Amino acid sequence: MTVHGKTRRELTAGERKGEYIAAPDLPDVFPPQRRVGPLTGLLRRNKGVALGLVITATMSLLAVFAPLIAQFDPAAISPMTRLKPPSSAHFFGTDMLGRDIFSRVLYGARVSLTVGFVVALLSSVIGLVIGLVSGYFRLLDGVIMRVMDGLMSIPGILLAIAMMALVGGSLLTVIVAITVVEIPRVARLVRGVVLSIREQAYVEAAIAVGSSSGKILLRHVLPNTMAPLLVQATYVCAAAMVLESILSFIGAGIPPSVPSWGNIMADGRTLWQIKPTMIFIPALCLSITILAINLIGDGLRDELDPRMAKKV
Amino acid sequence: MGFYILRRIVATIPVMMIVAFFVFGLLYLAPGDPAEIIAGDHATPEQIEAVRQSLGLNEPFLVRFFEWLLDIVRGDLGNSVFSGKPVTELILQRLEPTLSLMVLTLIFAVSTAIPLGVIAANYAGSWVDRTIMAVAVLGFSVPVFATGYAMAFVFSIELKWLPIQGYADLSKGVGLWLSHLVLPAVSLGSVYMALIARITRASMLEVLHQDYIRTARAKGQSQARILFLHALKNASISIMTVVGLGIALMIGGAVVTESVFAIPGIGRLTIDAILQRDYPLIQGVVLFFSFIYVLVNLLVDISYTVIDPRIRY
Repeated sequence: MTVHGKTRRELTAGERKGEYIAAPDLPDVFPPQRRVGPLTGLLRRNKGVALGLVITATMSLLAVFAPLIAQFDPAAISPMTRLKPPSSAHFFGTDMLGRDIFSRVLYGARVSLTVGFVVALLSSVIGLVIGLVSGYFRLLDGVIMRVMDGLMSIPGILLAIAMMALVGGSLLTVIVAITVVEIPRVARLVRGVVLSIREQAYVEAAIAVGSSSGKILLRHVLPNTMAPLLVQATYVCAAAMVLESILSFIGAGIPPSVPSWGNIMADGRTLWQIKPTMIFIPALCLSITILAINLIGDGLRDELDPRMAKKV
Repeated sequence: MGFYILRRIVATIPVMMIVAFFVFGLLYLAPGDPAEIIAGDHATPEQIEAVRQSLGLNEPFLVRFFEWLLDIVRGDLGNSVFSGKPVTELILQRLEPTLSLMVLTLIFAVSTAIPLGVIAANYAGSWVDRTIMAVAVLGFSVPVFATGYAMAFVFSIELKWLPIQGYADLSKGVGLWLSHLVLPAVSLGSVYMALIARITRASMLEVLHQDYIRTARAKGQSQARILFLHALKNASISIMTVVGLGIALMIGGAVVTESVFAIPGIGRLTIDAILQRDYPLIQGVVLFFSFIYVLVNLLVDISYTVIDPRIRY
């Protein structure tokens, strides 16, 4: 007979005495495990997340060290070497102004990743606050959610286009426009979580013992929103990168002089039948990065909410 | 049910009002004085003032908003600054290509995604499921222009099977019309397809664990009938919801697709409007697409009661 997974011989005298009142051999609900950090465990179980993280980290490093890696100034025009095919000097060839496409794509990674990460962060923080307020204070809920519904009824790209048409194109305005598009999605999600949490008995208990609204929100509601928010943030990041490239591609985004993946593709549009690399290389980089971020998001979702793993 | 439909229609009015308010705010905040543009380059300040009076530009914000709203209800979206033509006319002229593209995309996405999702759910956990889901994540991640250019490169330039770019009216023959729209529809539909396939698999998995499926199996129903008749019907509510919400993605994607394949639709009109800073036109297009989006989702909501008689509001 074993108690707490120990045989009789291994038990201390005290435990042996309690042997008779201890529950007889319950199945091991929590089998002893070698303790690993939550991240290591996640990476071991989910290869998709590992792959996604490796790709995202590589892209980020390339973006950060772009000035060291690129041998050419991405804006340097060189009329003598226009539209050159890929060579040892120009890995991806040159565009119609003689600019080195490899350097431009490297610098383009900076724009895409900056937009993705900053929008994910900003819209998560703002959406979280709006969602918490809306879900917790019934009075404001109606008004806030109608405004969010209205914003969400305008297809995202068009809303961003409309805002970009008002203000001039720059990295900042693109980030703001895409953030506005993404906020309602985050706010709705957070509100949903808050609505389900506030019906829980422990929140009722907290209200009963006289906790302030602020304390209940911070201590009891906020922690529960973190897991879904983290997953949503990865999807927002991917969506923001797509949106940025679309805005730049159609001429409503980052100014054409800045090498962003969307702008490189826009430059390549007129010549794409004879020089498809100008479209395909940035498109490939964008696709790989978005795939990586989606893999992280899917993995996190399966990990953080096993019930959701079957859904979507 | 009639009452429910009526209530749903009424409920969309405030949403559309908020959309209209945003869109009007855009024109209100837009740089440039429409009176100056209309009066012409050589107008005196008095003439500009007269134009401003006649257009009602001196009225307070809310008065102008409601007057503008009345015009819209009458079908008047104002005139394009660039061409001077009514915005409604410009949009209607471009309606056919965009509508054709969207309908074909919808047909392609739904007719491929649902069987894929059902098969993935049926073989959940196997290599079939993993392959389909991997393709779905890929389809979900590759942006429209990447798919569009890649397909145009392979099928039009290398293989020369289909026209590279452009559009042919439906009146010129279905074959020609279709040949111009196959590639745009497939590339626009790939993201959409991935989305629907994922939700189909998920809601099928949920349904397949229910008792009535076991009953159907026990009475000897074939697996295909169980999947596509019994289970799919109950899974269709969430699928319909995603199909409706995905329209937003498709509208956004249409702007890019029309640009990639040089289709003269509303998407192209939008891009031209942006490049020319033609605010009334931008406003009209945004309002038009939002209206379509809200309308489709209204229809989806109403269709719930038809698909599932248990839903009573």
